Amino acid sequence: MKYRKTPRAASSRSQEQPRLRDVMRRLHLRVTLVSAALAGLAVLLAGFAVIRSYALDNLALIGQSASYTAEAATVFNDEVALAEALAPTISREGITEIAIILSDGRTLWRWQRPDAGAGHRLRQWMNGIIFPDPVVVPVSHQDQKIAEVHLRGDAGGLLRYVVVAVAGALACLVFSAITALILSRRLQNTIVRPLLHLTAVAHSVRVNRTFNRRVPASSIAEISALADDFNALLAELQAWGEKLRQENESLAHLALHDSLTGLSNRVRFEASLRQAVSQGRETGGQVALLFMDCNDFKAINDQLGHACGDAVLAEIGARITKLLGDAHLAVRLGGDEFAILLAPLDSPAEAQTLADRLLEAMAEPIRLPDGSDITASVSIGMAFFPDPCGDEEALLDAADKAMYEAKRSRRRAGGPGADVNPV
Amino acid sequence: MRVSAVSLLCAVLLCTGLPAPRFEAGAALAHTIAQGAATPDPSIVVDSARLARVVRGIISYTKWPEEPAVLEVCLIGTLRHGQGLETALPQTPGRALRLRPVARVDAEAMAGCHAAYIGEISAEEQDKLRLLTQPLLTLREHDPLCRSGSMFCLRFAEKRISFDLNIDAVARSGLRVDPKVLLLGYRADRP
Repeated sequence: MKYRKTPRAASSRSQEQPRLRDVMRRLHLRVTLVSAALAGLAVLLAGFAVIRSYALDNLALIGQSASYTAEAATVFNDEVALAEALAPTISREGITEIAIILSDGRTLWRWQRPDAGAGHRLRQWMNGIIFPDPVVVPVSHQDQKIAEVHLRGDAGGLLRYVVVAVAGALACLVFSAITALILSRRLQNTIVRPLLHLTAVAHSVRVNRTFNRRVPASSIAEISALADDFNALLAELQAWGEKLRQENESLAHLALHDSLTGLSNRVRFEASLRQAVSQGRETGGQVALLFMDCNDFKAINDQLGHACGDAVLAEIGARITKLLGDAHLAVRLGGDEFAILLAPLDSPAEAQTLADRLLEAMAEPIRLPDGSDITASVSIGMAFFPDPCGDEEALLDAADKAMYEAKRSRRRAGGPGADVNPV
Repeated sequence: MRVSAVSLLCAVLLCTGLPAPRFEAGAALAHTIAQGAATPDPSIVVDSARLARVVRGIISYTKWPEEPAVLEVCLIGTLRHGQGLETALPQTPGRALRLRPVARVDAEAMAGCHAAYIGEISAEEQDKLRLLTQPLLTLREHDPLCRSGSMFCLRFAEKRISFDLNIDAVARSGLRVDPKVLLLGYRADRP
């Protein structure tokens, strides 16, 4: 399914498969979130450990202070004095429970922080987890341990830190995510956009054969290299296409033209004639067809050789071309037979004038390759459409007949000159 | 606060040599009596062990200029609560001490005393006590205003024995009393 190369499969593939932009964004987001979360967690745990240790140190300090303050009252076993002496101590935040336990195990005095509302149970539970054992500080009198101060800490400060740290970490996560998205968008512009250019150019080349398009340069080395290679490939394709087009053109030219004279050949002539006749029939315009062949060409060929014959034919072709320019279609039908199609024709007189000028042009001697000159006389037959009647076949026949008529009349006259015989 | 005020007043009076303005102090006295702390309550039964611990505590916080190997505690006058001390006090942990009842208050009889636990005595005896020159720790059983010149004035209540301090007496005694106890005494009198 994925590898089918039909356009439909390609479009469904583009829908199913993730886009580079999305992949990059997702990747960036994931990497950033994971690293930020890990960093936040590390800071949280480290901070938790440090603050807990500070809290324990603080508890120990409070315990020392309480031990000193409570010493005399403990010696006298005076609970009232003890309560008064330790009042400043228990007013501090970080303590939930303080007890003076005598050496004989008797609890002389105990204080617990009163129930502080809804979160109290939870807080007590957390305190139990975070400070599982009470801090114990001895109370000494005259170098004798007479009692112990048992202190339990309140994890409220630590919990506040955790809440703040978690909130901070979340804020950092959000900030990191936004930064990652911005950075990935920036990266997209440097990576995805050139790739999109490449894709667009490749698509345009494939669909529209626009080999002249080029991929713009990119700031990324790899994409730049790819674009350069792609552009080079396109240049090669363009050159190759150009060469192919030229060859096609030359082949097309060869197919429709006579190689010796450069005039059109019979194939093109027939097509043009058909087109001219049908056009004349539709528009009512006139068409004139001139047939021309070289008198005694066989003799030239036989006596002077094919090279000279070819030279004569080439020169005739050149003179026809020179006379006609691009105005009308001149054709070498084969051998020494030529045809000129005048379409559209303004008047029959135009054809007559052309025939006269052709005869004039052919009267000039032809310089042969061996340096000698020869005069090639020609016979020209003319036929018109729609006069007398019929189609292009009739026209051809008429022109042919007219030409042979001219030839015959020339023979009857016995002169070497040329003749024009209109039908 | 009251004790400190009274003590300071006493100190000032003693220093200036003026006769004690008994009537002037009457208002404060009446106030104290009204609180019920001044009159001894005969119904109170004192736990001798508790009393012994307090006495022992005070002794333990007191430093003599020349520390005796065995501390001699003299019992003076008619004792209301301290009869049991003779047996209870030596049982408390601490330095070695010896108790000795002294029948008559004079310099000769009290020559070896380092501390004196004083019960009911006459004004004459009280004056004689003042004239003693040796460093002597004095604890008075019943002296609500703590103006008799004793350093520590014990106060007996149900399940509690506290004490007041006469700062001037402490200062004049030549003994060094740990400030912790001074602080405790100071506090103990607060309502």
